[in-house]
Amino acid sequence: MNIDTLARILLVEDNAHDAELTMKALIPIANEVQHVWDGAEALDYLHCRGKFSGRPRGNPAVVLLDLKMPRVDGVEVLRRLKGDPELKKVPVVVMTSSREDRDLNACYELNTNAYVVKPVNFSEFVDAVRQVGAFWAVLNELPPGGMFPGG
Amino acid sequence: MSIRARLLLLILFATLVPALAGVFHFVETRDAEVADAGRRLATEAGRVAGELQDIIKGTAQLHYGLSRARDLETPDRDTCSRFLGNVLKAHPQYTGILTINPDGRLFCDSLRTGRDLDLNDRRYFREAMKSAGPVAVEPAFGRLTGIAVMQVAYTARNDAGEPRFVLLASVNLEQIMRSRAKTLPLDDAVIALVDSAGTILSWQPGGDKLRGTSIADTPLFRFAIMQGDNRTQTEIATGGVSRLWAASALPDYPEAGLRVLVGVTRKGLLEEANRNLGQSLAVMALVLFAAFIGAWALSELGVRRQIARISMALNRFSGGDFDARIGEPYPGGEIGGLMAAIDRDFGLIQEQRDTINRLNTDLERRVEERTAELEAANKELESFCYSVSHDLRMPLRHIDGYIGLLAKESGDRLSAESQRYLQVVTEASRNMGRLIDDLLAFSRMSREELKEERVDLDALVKEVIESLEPETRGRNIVWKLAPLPPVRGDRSMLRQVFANLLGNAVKYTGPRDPAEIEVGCAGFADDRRVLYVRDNGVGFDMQYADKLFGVFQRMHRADQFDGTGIGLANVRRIISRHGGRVWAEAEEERGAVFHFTLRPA
Repeated sequence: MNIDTLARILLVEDNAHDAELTMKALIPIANEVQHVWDGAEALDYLHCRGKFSGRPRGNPAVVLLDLKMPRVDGVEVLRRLKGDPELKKVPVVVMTSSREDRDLNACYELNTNAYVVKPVNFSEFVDAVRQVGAFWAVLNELPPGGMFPGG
Repeated sequence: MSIRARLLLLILFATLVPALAGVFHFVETRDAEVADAGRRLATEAGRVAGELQDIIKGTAQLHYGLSRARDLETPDRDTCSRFLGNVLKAHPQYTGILTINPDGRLFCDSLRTGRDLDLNDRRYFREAMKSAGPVAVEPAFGRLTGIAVMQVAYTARNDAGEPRFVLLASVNLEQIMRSRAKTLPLDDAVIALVDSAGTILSWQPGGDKLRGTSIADTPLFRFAIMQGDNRTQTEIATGGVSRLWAASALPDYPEAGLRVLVGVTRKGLLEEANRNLGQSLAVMALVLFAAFIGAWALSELGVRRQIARISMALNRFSGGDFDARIGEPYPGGEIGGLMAAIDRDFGLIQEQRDTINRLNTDLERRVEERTAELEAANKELESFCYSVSHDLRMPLRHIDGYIGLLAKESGDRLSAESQRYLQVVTEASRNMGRLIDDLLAFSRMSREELKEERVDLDALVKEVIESLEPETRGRNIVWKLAPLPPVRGDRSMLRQVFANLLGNAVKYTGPRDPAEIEVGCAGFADDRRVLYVRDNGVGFDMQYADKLFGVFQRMHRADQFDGTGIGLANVRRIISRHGGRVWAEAEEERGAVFHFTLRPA
């Protein structure tokens, strides 16, 4: 991934296999995918700091967020994102293995835009990822404010 | 009734019997005293009569002596009268002494009146002149004094037997009676002297007005002149007063016709006896009163106060004051022993209570500890399930994902056998995913709070059957649904029970045409409704029935009937969380019936 281009999709996933499978699934609908390995990196990316300080300005069309991650976990990322006046408009889709009520509740409390349980079945998984990606990155109209430089 | 009242009543009874016996005895004694008094009356009458006779005899001796006195030989009236006056002074029992000449004229007179009287017509004169005996006796009233006297006359004769003069002495009966009245043996007694005509000569004491009156026609006089021994006593009313009377004549001087009567009112007679009785009764009353006071004091101090102390301590103790004691001093005897025993028991009870409190505190602390431990274990289990749900699913997803990629990218280059292997791996990973999902659901259900409400089972069963439509489509199933009673329970959990049981019934009747599935209610057990689901499916061997409700326990091979084996474990967990029980009966190839109990709404 080229960190100099603005990704339409930010994928936050600590597991390499999940990340690979998700990217494979997203190939037909979007090649502008930025993968980061944990919540800390995700926040660095969104705030254009650290190793992402040189990236093009603007926010991704959607953030695909895993919950269970080292350092800063998904719930914390969600909390910071939705607590930031600039970033709270960025749609976040939580994608996780857990269907535990407390995770669901926590995420919706923090105003997640969607919550998707990753299916074990690969083809179902691919379908789910594609639908989510297509909906948020392609079909969904974002509020005005210039997410992408040059549109 | 209080103990004191009982004791006093007891003492009352105990003293009343001797008291009554005493009163009876006193009354008897009094009757004897009355009889004795009657006898004393008769004795007194006899004694007075005897005295009168003695006086007459004495008078006769005086007369005899005087008849020989020279002083009376004198023809000088004055000298004679002086002499008699001196004699009278020496004998005050006489009102007067005089001599009468044989011609009947008064000669000398102790009263020295000097009067001339012809006493020829006097009966005593004539009797004396006639009489050869020593005296003639006649009761009369004194001419001058008006008081009763007894004229005792004696004729002095010369050697030839011719009368020289008649001596007359008037015995003062009134005086004698007065003095006798003072020595009567009974209070309130009267003494009377009556002549043969029934005239009262004297009535003492207090009978001056009766003097001279006649009782000739009264029962008293008839009693007085009655002959015989039965004259001792009888009760006769005179002048409105009833008295007991005794009478006596003068047996040596019947010609005098005198009767001595001694009478006493019954009141007077009884007075002394009554006084004795009264004294005895007073003493007895005093003794009784003292006994009462003593008994009261004994019962008050020895019984009632002690029992009041006991009951006060008991009340305080049962009212929650466990420090309450009767306390010292304990009186001697059974009550004191009882008090000491009660205090000992109070002490024991307090100790036991303290022990119980200590144990309770200990128990509470241990319950708190266990609860905390359980909560910690529950939390651990929760995070375990959380981890399982995350971490176990992930590798499965990867297996499935990469097998998928492999099949997609290189599938056409693999042999048919290799492709089948991939297929098996895929199915195995998916099956494991289902197991994990079921296990998570089972554990989640176990932890969820029970939301109990009234549940309409008819509607619930209908709903479940509708949801089974994908499984029942194209099947020939005969549903036999009896009306079900409403029950109390968590609706969504009970829905799961029916979903599992009806789902199983549909599944295991797969080979049947038609399949028969029956839902009904079989009355009560343990105050709960017994519900059942029956099918005519493949059933199972009852020897494995105990495994039926275990997690992941299956009765059939996976290629015959699919499923993870978690359904009945869920059913049992749900029913037992509702406080009910579930059991199954079956026969291989003949069907199965599942019973479970639920609380009625």
